[in-house]
Amino acid sequence: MLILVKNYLFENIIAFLSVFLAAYIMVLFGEYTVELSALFYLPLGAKILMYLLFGFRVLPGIFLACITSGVVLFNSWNDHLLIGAMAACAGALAPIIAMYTMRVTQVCDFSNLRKIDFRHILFLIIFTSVISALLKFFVYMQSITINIDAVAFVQHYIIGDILGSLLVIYLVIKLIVPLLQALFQEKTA
Amino acid sequence: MYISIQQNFIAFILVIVSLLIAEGIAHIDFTNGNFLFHPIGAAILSYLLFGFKVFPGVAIANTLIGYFLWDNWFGNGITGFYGHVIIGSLAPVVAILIMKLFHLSEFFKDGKLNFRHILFLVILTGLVNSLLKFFLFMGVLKANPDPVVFLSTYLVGNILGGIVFIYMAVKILPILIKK
Repeated sequence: MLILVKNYLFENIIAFLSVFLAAYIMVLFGEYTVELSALFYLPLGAKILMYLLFGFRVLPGIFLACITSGVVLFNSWNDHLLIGAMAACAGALAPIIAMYTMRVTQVCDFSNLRKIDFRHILFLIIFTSVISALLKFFVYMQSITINIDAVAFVQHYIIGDILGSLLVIYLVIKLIVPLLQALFQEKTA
Repeated sequence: MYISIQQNFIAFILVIVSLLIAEGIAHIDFTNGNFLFHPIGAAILSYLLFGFKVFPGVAIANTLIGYFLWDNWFGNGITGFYGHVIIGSLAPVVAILIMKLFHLSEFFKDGKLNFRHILFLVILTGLVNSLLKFFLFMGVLKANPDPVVFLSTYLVGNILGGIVFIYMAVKILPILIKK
């Protein structure tokens, strides 16, 4: 029981750190605005990766990371804390909705990562980006103080989410995984 | 050639009848989506049964209804044509091609329709159709639509209408015919 709790906490901490780090890198190298998002919205890629690795049980860690990064890095979404928190909630739930829809309709099952087709992950990224952008659009449009151009909002959010997620997953597969493998091989040798 | 004309005629009848039913249930307006937009289901079923070659049948049905019944697409002319006919007829094709490209589709399993995959196709078609119409119509339509109402009603209407039509055609119609 204790090991299960420890594992749960460890996975959630990993998820929290990776999503927060992705948001930090995004802010460091680019610009994020509530109205137009960022050209490479990296946190979505980190969220998808965490859900793929650990399953839906890392939702609390991811949700906490979204709220923390919004408050600390995005200046409480330009002083729109409530709406921003709701959008963060939508962003944390979007990959779950996408993966669950794909699982229920039996087009793809992400439970066995070894057997997974990379094209399915590519589609998951696009599908999640569209769902995330639409959910955030419906949330942000409820605010009367944020001036949003509806078409530009949806376009920028979808493109930013897709590019950011692709970048994160590409970097993890091509850079981080080989690096870790090389590191562990050196240690065992 | 004969078979192709026959198949196009069946697709034409399916789409035009479903459009008339949708118009009969509730008045259609481009600023709001219809909450049960059957024609998307008719178009999906036509493409699944006969392939992409029934595009002319689907497009002609949409054109006739848009031009004559909806009075030149509610006065929007060529924009209405692009949105309703081109996007409306091509959205299921785009969705099927996306699913094929990403190896997600197996619409027929052991000679039977795989309803779960078709369900996903309907959702994807609804997304493609609603988003493309949203990008085209917003700011172009003569009546200024509310973006949230526009997108939400189109999404819900397309997905619900598609599911209801295909469920009726695949599950209920064969039982009625047997009886």
